[in-house]
Amino acid sequence: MHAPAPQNRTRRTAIFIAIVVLANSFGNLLLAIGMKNMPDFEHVALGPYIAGLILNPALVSGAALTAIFTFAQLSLFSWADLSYVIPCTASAYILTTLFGQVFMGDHVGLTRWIGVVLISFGVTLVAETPIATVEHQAEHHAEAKSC
Amino acid sequence: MLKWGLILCTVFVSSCGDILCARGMSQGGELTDFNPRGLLHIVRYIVTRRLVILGGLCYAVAFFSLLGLLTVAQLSVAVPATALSFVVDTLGAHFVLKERIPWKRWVGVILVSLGVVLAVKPGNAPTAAPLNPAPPHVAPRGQGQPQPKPSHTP
Repeated sequence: MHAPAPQNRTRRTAIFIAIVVLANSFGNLLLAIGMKNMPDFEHVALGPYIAGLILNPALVSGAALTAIFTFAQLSLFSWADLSYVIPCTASAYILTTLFGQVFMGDHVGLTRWIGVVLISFGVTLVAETPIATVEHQAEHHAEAKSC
Repeated sequence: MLKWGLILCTVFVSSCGDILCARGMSQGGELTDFNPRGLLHIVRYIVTRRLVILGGLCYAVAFFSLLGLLTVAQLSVAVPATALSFVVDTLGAHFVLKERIPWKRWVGVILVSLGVVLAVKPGNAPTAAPLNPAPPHVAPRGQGQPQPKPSHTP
């Protein structure tokens, strides 16, 4: 049972945060696109509506990406501080704003751009702090192998 | 009164979910093996960890609390107020999980919270706002319908 090298942990953290942010942003984009193609809930029977949800490729892909987002974020919690992970993953708001403008034709006003800039500064500051400030327990898979 | 109660409920219950998931995941040690066999093991670990399951239940409660909040409060108050959860998460991480929070992280968290308030304020909100980890981070879609949550985020 050995602790992973610090550089490995830094690289793994960057990769997982990228997965969380991308899966969250693309997932929400696909869910938004998928829901735009769905009929109004009040005007359709429940059965056909659920079938429409399941057969909608954008919704299914969006749900799969949301599952990946959840899985990656929970994995991050196993080695990184909660107070590090949560603000860093707020970068998803930046991507979502860009996606909204590029893919959905949203109008992005000055206030939202100011918000995006503040989030960028905030995430940069948090990213400069240590990934973990408390001791996390031994490597999980090593523990599993010993069982 | 009900409005503020629901705002506090949404923010605090969601942060409880984050803290429970973080505690549950950190108890088992650092995950390092992400090959197919390792992934199966991790999934089994996640779905059998009591604290993580409790965290998931908290997310569900916070989500319904947010829906309730949207019925009694103006969107312009309800959704930006939930950005407070970034600060509550950080306080919880410090006092419950005993994380040491450097001043840079504090400043970063406050900037992120302010940024999210501006980015999700109704009228400014993106069409596909991030569902970030917990319901409080849910931003309104279009004219203010909260996004559906297909499976709950940490």
